[in-house]
Amino acid sequence: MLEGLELLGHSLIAFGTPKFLLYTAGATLLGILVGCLPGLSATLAISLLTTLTIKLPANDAILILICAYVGAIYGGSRSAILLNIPGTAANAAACLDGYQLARQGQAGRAMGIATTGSVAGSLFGILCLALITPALGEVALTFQSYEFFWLALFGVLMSGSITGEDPLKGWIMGILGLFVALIGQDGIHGFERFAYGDANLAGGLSLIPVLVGAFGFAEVLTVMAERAHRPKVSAVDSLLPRIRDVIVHWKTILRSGVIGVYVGILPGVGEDMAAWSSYAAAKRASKEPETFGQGSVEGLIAAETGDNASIPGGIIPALALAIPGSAPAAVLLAAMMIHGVRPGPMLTIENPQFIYDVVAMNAYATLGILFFGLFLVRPLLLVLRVPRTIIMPLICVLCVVGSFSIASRLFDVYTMLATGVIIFALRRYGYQAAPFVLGLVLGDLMDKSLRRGLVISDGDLTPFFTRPVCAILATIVVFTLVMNIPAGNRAVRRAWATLRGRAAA
Amino acid sequence: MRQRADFGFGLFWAALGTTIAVESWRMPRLEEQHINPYTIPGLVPGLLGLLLILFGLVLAQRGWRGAGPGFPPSAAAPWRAGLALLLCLGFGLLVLGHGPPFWAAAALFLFLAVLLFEWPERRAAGTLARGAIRAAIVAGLGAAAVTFVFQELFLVRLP
Repeated sequence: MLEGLELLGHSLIAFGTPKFLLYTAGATLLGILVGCLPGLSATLAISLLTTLTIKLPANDAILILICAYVGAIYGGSRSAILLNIPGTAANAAACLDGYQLARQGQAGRAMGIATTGSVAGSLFGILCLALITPALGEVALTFQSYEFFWLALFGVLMSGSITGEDPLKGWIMGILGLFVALIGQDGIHGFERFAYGDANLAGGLSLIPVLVGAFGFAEVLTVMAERAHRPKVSAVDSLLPRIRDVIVHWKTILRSGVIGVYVGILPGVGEDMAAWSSYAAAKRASKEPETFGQGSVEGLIAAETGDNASIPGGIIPALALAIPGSAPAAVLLAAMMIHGVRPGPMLTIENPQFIYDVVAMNAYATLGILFFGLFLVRPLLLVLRVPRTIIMPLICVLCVVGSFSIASRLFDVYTMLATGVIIFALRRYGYQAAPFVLGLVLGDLMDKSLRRGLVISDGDLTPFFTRPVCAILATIVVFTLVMNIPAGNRAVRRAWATLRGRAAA
Repeated sequence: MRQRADFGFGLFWAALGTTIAVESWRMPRLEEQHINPYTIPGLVPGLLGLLLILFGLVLAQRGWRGAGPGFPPSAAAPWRAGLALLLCLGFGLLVLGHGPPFWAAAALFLFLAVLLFEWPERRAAGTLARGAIRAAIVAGLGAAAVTFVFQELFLVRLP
């Protein structure tokens, strides 16, 4: 405990230098701007910034990425409140009450509440990040290939189940992501899979160009293909949050923080689910549930606390297990690996300082959103008036340059373009990109874990189902699959009804 | 219509899964290297192929029955989608890295994209010339800024 505090103190001092504060301010502001703009997601911000910061030292680059991440999730509440359009998917729940407050002439108050909730959620999440990550890392040291196989599969399936309306399509995207991750040399024997003699494919598809294509270029095509609407921004009153709003709703803040962190830790479940879960829990617990959706301060606080708390929550499994909690955390994890950091159970032994560096980075990013949220709202709103016809072509240029910058080869640009076009086409039929990305990040881990596990057990599948963590994960995975396949669902319901009938008799 | 799309996609995924499974089966088992048989390279892709077949068939069956949660209709205008694809792919595949310097290719792309996507509104309002000037300014500033930030500030090579 004391050692942890010492490491944290060291990190806080290290990132308090003018250079790092400048990075923090710039990246948080950029994140807020990206988050403000509907259509540009936190994942896109991190993907593009990963390409831009590729030549920077690891700590500099990861600080920039985390600040942009926190800023983007927070920034999305601006457009949710003022335009009734969530800046990022995580802010959809904030639309319900935030926009109603804006319509009642309280846009400034709503933004102040969103700032308060976001900062409180972030701080709670950061506390959990500092406390849980080392502990989870210790537990994960006992994990073997069997557990990692299930964790990877669990993450992809959960992401598929929860993202979008149709779990089946989510799983298909997850499987595609897992498959694409296996193209190229396999991690055990170096055998070239699905490369067909092509030198570029033999090296595997680079993660960042695929991510930029899935979240950047696909989004550019989607937005450019739709007719542009000139946004009508609501007028803004006083921005300073009222202390009473915070004190009265401390229980909501605490509950939403816990839910946000918990949802964030679940592999593959993102900030949007954290916001909706917190919102639903706040409505259930509220003395005035009828005000939810009509401009409820409690509802807005719950949504914004939940989504921001899930950011550090999503980073916890990324650091301790190398399994990201959300799509943006998946990109962050990839960026850490590119910069030579090796997240996973060994991180607590090999590089414990890095965990507290990430805690400090989150803390400074939170200070950034507090500062910009309170003092720079009006100038920031100008970005909402910039037409999409200008922003989207610029983003397209950044996607191209960013993909090229990773390894200076045009093949990565083509990979990005192909991924973007495929995801753009699939999205029109209800397929989401997030499970694909999770699959892409976790594919290698799943592949190696299954094969290594089989080697350890000499082909015996029993340990994959009998070890305690494996048994729990396997049960959840099988149950989720069966319940979402109609024939399986009917069979389980019939069996359950029979069992209940027998018990009653 | 949507269910028919699900049916078609389901068959496509099942076919893709079959291809992956067959290709995985055909992968060398590396017996000459005396590797552990449980580590053959085709094991995991083969299993993924089988899962894709299963999910594809379930989707196709669901689409055939007209069941499933459905999905919202796309708000995309066909001409806009076509133009976006043409401009972006033309920029990325045909122009970039094939002769013109990056800043010129980016400026040309930005100019055309801004001008053409604003064309209907500009023509209706009679402000085409103003739109062209604005597109030129955006193109010039945008290309210069991206070139400067990546190449000069962050020392990243440009195509």
